Amino acid sequence: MHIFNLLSRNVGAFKTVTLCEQKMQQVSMMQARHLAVPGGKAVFKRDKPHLNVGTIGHVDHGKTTLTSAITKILATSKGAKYRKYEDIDNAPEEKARGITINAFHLEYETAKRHYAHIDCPGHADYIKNMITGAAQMEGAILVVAATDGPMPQTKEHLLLARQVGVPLENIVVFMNKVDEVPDAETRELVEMDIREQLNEFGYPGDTCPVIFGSALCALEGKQPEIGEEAVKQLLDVLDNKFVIPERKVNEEPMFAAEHVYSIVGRGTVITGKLERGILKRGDKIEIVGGTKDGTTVKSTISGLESFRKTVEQAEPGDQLGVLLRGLGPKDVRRGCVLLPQGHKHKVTDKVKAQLYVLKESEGGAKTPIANYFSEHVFSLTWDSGASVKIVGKDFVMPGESAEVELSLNSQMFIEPQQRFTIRKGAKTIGTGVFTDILPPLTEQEKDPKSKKKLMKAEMERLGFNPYGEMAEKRLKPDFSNSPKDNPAAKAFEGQP
Amino acid sequence: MFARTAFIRLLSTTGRNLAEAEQKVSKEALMALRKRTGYSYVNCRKALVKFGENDMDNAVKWLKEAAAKEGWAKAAKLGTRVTSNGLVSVVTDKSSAAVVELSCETDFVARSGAFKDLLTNITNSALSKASSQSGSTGAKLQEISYELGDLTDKDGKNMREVLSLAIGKLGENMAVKRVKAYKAPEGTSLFGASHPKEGTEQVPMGRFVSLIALNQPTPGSISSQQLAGQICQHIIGMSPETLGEATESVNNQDGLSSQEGHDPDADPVVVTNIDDSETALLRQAFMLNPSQSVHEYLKSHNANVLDFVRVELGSEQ
Repeated sequence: MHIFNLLSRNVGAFKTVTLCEQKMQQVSMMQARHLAVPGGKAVFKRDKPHLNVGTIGHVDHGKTTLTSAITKILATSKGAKYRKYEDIDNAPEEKARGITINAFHLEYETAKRHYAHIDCPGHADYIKNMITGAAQMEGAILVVAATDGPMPQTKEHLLLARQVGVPLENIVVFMNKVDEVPDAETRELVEMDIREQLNEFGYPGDTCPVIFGSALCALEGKQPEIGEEAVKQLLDVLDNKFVIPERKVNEEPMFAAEHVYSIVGRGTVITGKLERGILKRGDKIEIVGGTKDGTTVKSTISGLESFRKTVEQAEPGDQLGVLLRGLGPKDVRRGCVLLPQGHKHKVTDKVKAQLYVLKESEGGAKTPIANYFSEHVFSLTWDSGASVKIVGKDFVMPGESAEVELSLNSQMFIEPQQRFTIRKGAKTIGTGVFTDILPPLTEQEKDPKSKKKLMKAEMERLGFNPYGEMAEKRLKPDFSNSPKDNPAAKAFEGQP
Repeated sequence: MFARTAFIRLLSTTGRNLAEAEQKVSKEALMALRKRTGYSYVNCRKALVKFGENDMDNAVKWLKEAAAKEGWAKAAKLGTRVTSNGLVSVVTDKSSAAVVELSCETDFVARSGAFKDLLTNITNSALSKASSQSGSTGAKLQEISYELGDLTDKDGKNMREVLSLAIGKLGENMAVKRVKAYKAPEGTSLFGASHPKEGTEQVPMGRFVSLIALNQPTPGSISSQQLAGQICQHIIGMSPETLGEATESVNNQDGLSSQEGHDPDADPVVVTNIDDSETALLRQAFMLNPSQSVHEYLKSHNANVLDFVRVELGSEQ
């Protein structure tokens, strides 16, 4: 099981979730550079901690009714706008087409916290939205009807929560429809059953809160002990038991170069946007990324300008020209990143990522991405050729997502959760997020001899050449020893 | 919608019954029955109330009957809901194959073991029916369509009943969108593959499946199984529409250099490019190695593809 803690380290700002389709359009309209996390933009000021929660569960177990009940109860304290069942469930055609999970997106707040609430209608939908940045779930409310108990697919619901990295503490079970199960024995058994399943998936099943209630009663204002009270109990769990994942905001300055100009007699100027941190004149800096071997150059900022005015201190979001002392035009390139000296960042040319391949209707290509394809990757202000290795699938069809390993042509500035796009000509064919930074290709891996050997073995295994014609001429693979004629097989012939 | 929900609840067999609620049922017995049958707690409890704790066999029998009835009722109730998720399966023995498309409402259900078991069951029964029929005489695949009601499982139970039981258990609308069988042209073997690989080795299933009739008189350097798997992948990925005429050269710009948005001073970036306008299988660039045509690749392994089928989930409404 791949646990990808996508987005878990996202910036603290509450990001408004757009409709996925819009997002896709946005992605495809975006020009060559694709900026990362929306850290630089104006920050939504909120006085309460924010948490993204989601409801998961079987279609008929009352997720929408519960969501509606939550807004109704919080509306009395002005913590939410009351949404009727019909309002939440109002996009049947969209639902049928499986496009969106954001139509169900809503927000509410308690005295303690602010919540964004999403519903997860499908596994693939959720993963796609997570990769494109449209949705995330840091806490899960598992809705189970006490009448039915856990369904065979409840396992799949828990698996999704586990897979997307919902913290172990952040799961609560809402046992719905208890108005239809009046006897204590059945309730107890359903509870035992669900606790067992939670344990199976590594959640603390024995201590996880299980709340008995009826969302319908809460909505209709009947039997407050299982209606309103149960929903309040649920909100209390969200407020007090759920932990807010640490959202580390890296304050170290980071500036990605968009253009490089050399000014005779003064040095080199790079322009771009300060993504984060503070820059001042005289700061000692290092330029990283964009080289094959990871070499860097050091320099000092001898001047900062913004729109032709000198700037004493640059702040996140500023469009800047940075004058660097003693650098020649070849020392910096578009895509290089400026960091303070003494930084801990390690550039790399090998990285794991989650990739979503756009459908044709989303502006993508008709054809899939297969193993060994060379693609053109854009992230921050850099772009690079990259060879794709797909994990767990043979190829990725448009509309699908997958875990991939990218080997870049040069070592680049990459941080986990940084976003990227894959473009072909004028089209954006894929979008994704880097997840794990792998160590750069070793000297041995890069050594032409051992590389050739590996490529040859791979060609013989596959029965064809995935590396292009040049490689075949150079390597002369011997297909006659490929699996079919494995000499080991002969040893077994003629035996009883 | 509320009114409807409330109405359905009134009608449902799980309605509240005070007299019943007062009757005590031991937890152990209830748990045992639930574990044994997997039916809803409310129904298990009813069965125990009706037959007492010492008559498990009758309780189970009653539950099964109730489940059949409820399955039909549920199937009728959920029948109008859209089923846009699901899986397509393909199974082959040498000269026969079966392709079944089973849809449901959410991919959570499609990923569950119970759903895959049901699909395996239907697919195998379609294959065994197809195997008993005489083979194809032409050079193409012979297609046979079945109705779900034509099929029975190993115990002779009608597949419609099996489906409605599953609907009762999984609580989602499900529909069998296609049941097709194929007979191989003479001298060929059938191979099938799915994408993604959700099924088992014996019964591949996924959102796409493909099936080819392959003829390989002398073995190539890799096994027919592996070769067929690659061609099946290609068919799923490149969606050819016809078989087409063989061609030696391939119309593709492998190694297209991608310059848009790229620093003009830096080295050009070379990307893999496949011509996606060609719709004839043999003339298409081979997806896994776009510098060759599919025909060329097959020829290098002394193989021929006589016919193929590609099915995508939800493509037939």
